Amino acid sequence: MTYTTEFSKVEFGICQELGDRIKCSQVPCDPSVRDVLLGMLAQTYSSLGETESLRYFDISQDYTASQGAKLRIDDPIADELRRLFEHDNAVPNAQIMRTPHAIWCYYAIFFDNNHRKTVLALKKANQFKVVSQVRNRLTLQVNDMLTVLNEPVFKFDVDFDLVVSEQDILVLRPNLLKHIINIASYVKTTSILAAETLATDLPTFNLTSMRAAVESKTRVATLLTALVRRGDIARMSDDLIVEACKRCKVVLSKDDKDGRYVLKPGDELNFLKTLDRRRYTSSLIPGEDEVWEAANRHKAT
Amino acid sequence: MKTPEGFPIVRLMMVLSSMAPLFVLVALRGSQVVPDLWLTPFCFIMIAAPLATLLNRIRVAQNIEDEKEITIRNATDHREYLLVYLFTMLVPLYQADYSTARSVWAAAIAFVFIVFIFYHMNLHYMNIAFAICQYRVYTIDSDKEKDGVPFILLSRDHAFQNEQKITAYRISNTVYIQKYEKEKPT
Repeated sequence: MTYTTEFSKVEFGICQELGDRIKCSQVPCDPSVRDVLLGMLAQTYSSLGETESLRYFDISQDYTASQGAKLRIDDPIADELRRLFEHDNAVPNAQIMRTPHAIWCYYAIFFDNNHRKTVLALKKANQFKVVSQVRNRLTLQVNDMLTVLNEPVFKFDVDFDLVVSEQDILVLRPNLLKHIINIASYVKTTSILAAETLATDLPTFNLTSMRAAVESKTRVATLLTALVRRGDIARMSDDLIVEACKRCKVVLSKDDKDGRYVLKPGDELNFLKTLDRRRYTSSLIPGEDEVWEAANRHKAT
Repeated sequence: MKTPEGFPIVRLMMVLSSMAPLFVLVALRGSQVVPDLWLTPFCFIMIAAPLATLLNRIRVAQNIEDEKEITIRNATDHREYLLVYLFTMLVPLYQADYSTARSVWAAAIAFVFIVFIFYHMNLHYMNIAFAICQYRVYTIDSDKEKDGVPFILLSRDHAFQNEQKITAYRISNTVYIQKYEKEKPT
């Protein structure tokens, strides 16, 4: 989607962090604030560039500041954002602004001329909160004198972190998304199931050590979850995996009893990196097979 | 979940505005204790000032586009509230005895109690002015999944489709009046 829609209405809201739950409330605002929010949305789309060419968000990927991404709206990791987008009739509560330390993010909902909710744009409230915390150091010129401003002051950012629509979620700062949608919690709850899926999809490999590694190492759990989410493990050839592991120095031994390949304990992360095309070999120098690892990679087209 | 209602003065004025028929009747009936010279202007002020405040709040909401997009979800018409309004407030206070100073004071205190109860129960949308302008009172269920706070919609429409989307002006945080493209004076 590109920024071509005429928006007839904008609603502003704040989400508060109350213990382990998030409470969102609409905050009434006047047309000048709505203009600022429209400007932020325009800037967000401008920074995202051509949204059709954005790659799908990968939870194991390290993103640079200028790299956008997108998510399908039905992606399980985006459940909370989808619920926020689908939530209607939020009761206004301007009092929520009186506790700036609890503000977690702010959002704006943009409606088209048919009262249809078109997009929801969200921003993690960093600057928004910082200014409110130093308010007694801000000054205001009243007549010809500088006066310390004691009223709460909030500062809008230049753009939003992400934009939710009916089809997808466009993410301007994917690294920040990991905190917004609490990827760590998602990985924790799904990685054990992902380990079982991996074992089912690769029956020729004995991956009993994988479950323990998933429980003890966050990186293993994240990489495994990302791998299973992509859903191409079942299509992989056992022989090609063994060959790739050999090239990438991942130690596999063959069990004579059942004929399965056993992964050397401690080599789980390297095995997953190989499956995830993060550990690979390059043979540009004659006689040298170099093994490389990539923190950030994507499929070339 | 408790949600601050906001607009305390406007809400108080709206409660007083809902008492306008009572002041009309009291002004017509008169009292042996309070001379008409004082009673009639007092009743007029008690009718005009709250109504002016309410109309001003709606006008301000229109001017600054204090609007809300509402998705209609289970709209319930509460015409029976008018009966509650009539029988709990209007009839007893109209039938009260105003012939002695004590009875006038007693009626005044009863009035204050009723205002207090209406204010705290957020019954400030009961207004004869809305009924005259053909507005009906609907309770709309909000999104149950989140906070589930129902709110009041004043609308001239007789029925709504489920999930119908409308725009309404905010009178208070839980009372809205539907916006029509060709707005008639309220």
